[in-house]
Amino acid sequence: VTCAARLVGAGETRYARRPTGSTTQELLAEAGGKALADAGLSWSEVDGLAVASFSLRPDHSIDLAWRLGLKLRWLMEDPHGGASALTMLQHASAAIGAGDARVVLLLAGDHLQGPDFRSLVNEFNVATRDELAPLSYGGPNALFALLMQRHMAKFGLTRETYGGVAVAQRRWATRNPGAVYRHTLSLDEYLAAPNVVPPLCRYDCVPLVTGADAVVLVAPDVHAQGVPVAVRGVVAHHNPDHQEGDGLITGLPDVARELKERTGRDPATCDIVSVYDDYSVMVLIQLVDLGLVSDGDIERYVRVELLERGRPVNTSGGQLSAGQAGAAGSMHGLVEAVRQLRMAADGRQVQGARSALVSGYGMVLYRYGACANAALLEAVP
Amino acid sequence: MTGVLVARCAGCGRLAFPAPLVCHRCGSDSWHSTRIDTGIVEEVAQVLHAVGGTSGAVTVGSVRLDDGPLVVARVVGDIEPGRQVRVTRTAGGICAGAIGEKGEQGASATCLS
Repeated sequence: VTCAARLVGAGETRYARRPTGSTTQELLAEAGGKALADAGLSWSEVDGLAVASFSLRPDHSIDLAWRLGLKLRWLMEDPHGGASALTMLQHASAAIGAGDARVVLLLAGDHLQGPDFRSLVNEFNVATRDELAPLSYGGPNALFALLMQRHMAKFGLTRETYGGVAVAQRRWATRNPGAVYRHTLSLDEYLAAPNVVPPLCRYDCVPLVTGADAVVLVAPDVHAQGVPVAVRGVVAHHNPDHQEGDGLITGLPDVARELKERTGRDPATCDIVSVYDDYSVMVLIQLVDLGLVSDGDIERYVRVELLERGRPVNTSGGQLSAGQAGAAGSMHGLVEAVRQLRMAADGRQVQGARSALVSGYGMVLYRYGACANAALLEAVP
Repeated sequence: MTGVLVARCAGCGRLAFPAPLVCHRCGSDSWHSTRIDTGIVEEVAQVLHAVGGTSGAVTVGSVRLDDGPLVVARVVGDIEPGRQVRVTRTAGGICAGAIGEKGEQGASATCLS
């Protein structure tokens, strides 16, 4: 366990609701530079690069390496949306363990505008292009509105519970100057918000932004500044049910079980939790799948743990408050967890945070997401 | 032509949509297609705001085809969950409309336009 790769830096650009004039490549470079500065490392020390972006084309990871002036021994690109950051972390940890690289920069970000979103949602995959786009379905909101209805019916929940997720995350966001929504949100405001695709309202969905995130992963003997964060485990279970279920159970129960077996630690006991929050309903599904809702009472968990006790879940405000910068959404929760464990979360710092659980979810193949992964992180004393 | 073509596994008879390449149940890579005309609506959702600002509110729904898989369809007419519907493959994707002459005409008029 002592030879685990370590996260030693994290960075994020400003998230912007409107185009800033920066290209995707420039945003990725800015986030990477911030993460390296956080680690006290220089671009010339990087020998591995991983990138996730929907808007990099026609460039690929090697084009980015060229423009970043990197000579590399290890290189990858990942297209798996909300699961991409942890997929890259899984590969990069193995690469460092194998000696293929010593200093890996993981980048994720996007600069997407209206027409880009339309083509992204209509040509997400062959099934979407052939079966969903012709319906004028308007993007994944419609699919998650159907999923949220199933979730409400299965667990007997009302909109107040989903609103509780949005309200609790917004409380954290009021202390994150990087979040695009920082004003306090009340449950009444949530309930009165405009519908997007009922039962989804505005605050069940992420605000779309441009921006990028980055982390630096190094071999244990690389000297960097600040608290190192060991990657104790990264586990994935993708396509668990062939899209033949109801979408209310992800691959994460298997992930949590395997993480516990491999690390000897129950992931549900971590001090900090970042779950992939593209929709409020997916926060609840992942918290259950990861074993955090021990009695299965979702309504109580939201009311007591999230709202009354302020349990540290998505402490940046999550994507629901901070914004979703395309593929950077997959790395946003990882960046926040690394900041918390390195005691660099400023006004929202959770005192004594030593361990973190981060999950990824995504890639709607036809009716719901198929990818799921999670990482268990621990600050090295 | 009404109905929707669904893949049937030559090995185990399982129905799947969209068509797979290999059957996860029996491992066969051989598929036939079979026509299904009706199903039951499980949920519906009215799209009031679309990503990228496409115009016009549409209603989509989950429809469990008879003997078969769940599909996402455009739902035309005032149809509530639990209703049996007729499904049709159109230029606008799979459409689900009320069973009966009036509903089918309504479905065609909306989906093919």
